[in-house]
Amino acid sequence: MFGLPTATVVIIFGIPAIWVIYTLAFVYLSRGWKAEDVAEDQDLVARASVTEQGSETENGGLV
Amino acid sequence: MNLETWFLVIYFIAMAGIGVWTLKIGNKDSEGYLLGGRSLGPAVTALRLQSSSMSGYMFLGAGSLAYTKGYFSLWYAMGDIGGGVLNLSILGRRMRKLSQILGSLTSIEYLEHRYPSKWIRAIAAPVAVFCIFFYVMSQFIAGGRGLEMVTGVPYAWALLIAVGVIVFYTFLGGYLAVAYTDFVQAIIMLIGMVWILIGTLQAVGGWTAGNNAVGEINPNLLTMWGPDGIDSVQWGVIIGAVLVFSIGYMGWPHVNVSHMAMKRPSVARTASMYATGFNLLFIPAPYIVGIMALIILPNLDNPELAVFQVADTVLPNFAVGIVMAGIMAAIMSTADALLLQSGTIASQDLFQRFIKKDMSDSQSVWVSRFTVLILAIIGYIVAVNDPPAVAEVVIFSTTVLGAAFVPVYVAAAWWKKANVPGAISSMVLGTVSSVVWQLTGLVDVTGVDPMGVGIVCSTLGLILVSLASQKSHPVPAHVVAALKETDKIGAIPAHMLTGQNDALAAQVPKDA
Repeated sequence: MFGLPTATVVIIFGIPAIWVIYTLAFVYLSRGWKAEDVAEDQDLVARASVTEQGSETENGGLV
Repeated sequence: MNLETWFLVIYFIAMAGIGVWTLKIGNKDSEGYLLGGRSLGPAVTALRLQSSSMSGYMFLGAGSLAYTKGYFSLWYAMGDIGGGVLNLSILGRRMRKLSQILGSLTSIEYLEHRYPSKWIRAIAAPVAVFCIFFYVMSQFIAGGRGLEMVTGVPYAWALLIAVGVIVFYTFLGGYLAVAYTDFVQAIIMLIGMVWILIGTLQAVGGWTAGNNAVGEINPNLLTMWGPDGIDSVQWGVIIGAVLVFSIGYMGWPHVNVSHMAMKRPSVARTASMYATGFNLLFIPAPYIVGIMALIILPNLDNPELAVFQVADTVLPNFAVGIVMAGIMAAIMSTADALLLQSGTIASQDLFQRFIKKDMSDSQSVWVSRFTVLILAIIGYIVAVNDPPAVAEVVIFSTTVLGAAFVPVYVAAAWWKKANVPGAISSMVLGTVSSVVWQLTGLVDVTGVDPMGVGIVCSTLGLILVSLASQKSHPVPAHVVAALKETDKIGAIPAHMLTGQNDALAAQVPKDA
């Protein structure tokens, strides 16, 4: 095929195919990482609200 | 000025413009200059990672290897295609999270925080700077030769222009400038390389016809065993070729810093798809062009210029300009990352750590910039006087970097028993074994690549010494806690973020 020996064709198409499969497997297996983003967002919101409350108290509740 | 030169001038101005732009939008503190404020998304992370790994080697070294060794050269590409996804999947998320918990701003500093001892940095920083210097010098040479060929400007002046532009934007914008220019340059590289490949295959009448013609020169060039056939194949060299650019990436400090600059740890996931997609399209192309150059330019004096000269021969003038911009993009995107990394090591990992501990953020940034300038000047002087072959320098320096650092970076994120004596042994054994193997000519005698030897030595050193010294040098409790937190999928608890910047000292023992 393509004027190349069979072994060459198998290697130059086979190894990249393994990397593609590895990438897809990694993406699938790491699908739970989205939960980390959600947790980080919630954490940031919680910290921001604590900071706001803190600054209100420092000013005696006055805006 | 010819059309090609105009394209290059526009390209240089655009890169400098990005440097000025990032100077305005970037943070002025150390985290802003060194890590872009940890703000980068998946596309920029992936393409920055890939373009800074690819270098001028892809246009000079890869073409040269292919021109002289045929399809055997594609063993390097076979490893290279998976380098990005391996790095992102093994180190990406964990290194991002761990570096934030430990408060690390540089990839060498990260090693010292994970293995708390000043000796870690005292060994890692000089080894990294030494290898990076040779690597960056090879990029300067590639840039100078490319510009000389396109513009007709004498090599010395062409080199000066190439170095000047790279230093200019690295000097201005720091990591953010490097990341964004690398992102743009990766796209230009891809367009340029695919264009050359299409033009080349058209010129030889298609891939099959090209292969048939190459087979008439020497049928062994079509095999994966080299021009002398399977009887003379060196399996050790083949294994090393695959290793250098697959797992080797994980030991390159200037590449690993990409993980630390990600906006979120999960960016590694999406970035892996961009990385593999980019690699599949880009990496095999220069090797195929180099092989086909045997038909288009059978009597080439300097095989390193195979890709340049094929582009000049098969493409129309306006396309050559764009393609040459792509070639310069590959060179510059690696050189800027290397220069910034060496400046960072000098300012943060050597000067601030060992000489002036109370240095301000602003002073630190200026030390980094000054180092970039000094290294660029020394690199220019060496490159202009006695330029060595690009492929040899790149493979040597990346081999040593990989052998010295792959096990310590991987174990830092994954193995809780990896300790200081293990890490020191690993770096020393990896460096010494790979350098000795290369310089004493053992590669030719044994047929075993120095990368393979170096990785085996450094891995064994790390495992055996760490296990033997667990009682005398246990991993500190705060590091174990950080590693356990890194294992979890979730937000980093507030109390674990105290290591960031000013409170960094709290994470590192005073007597370390």
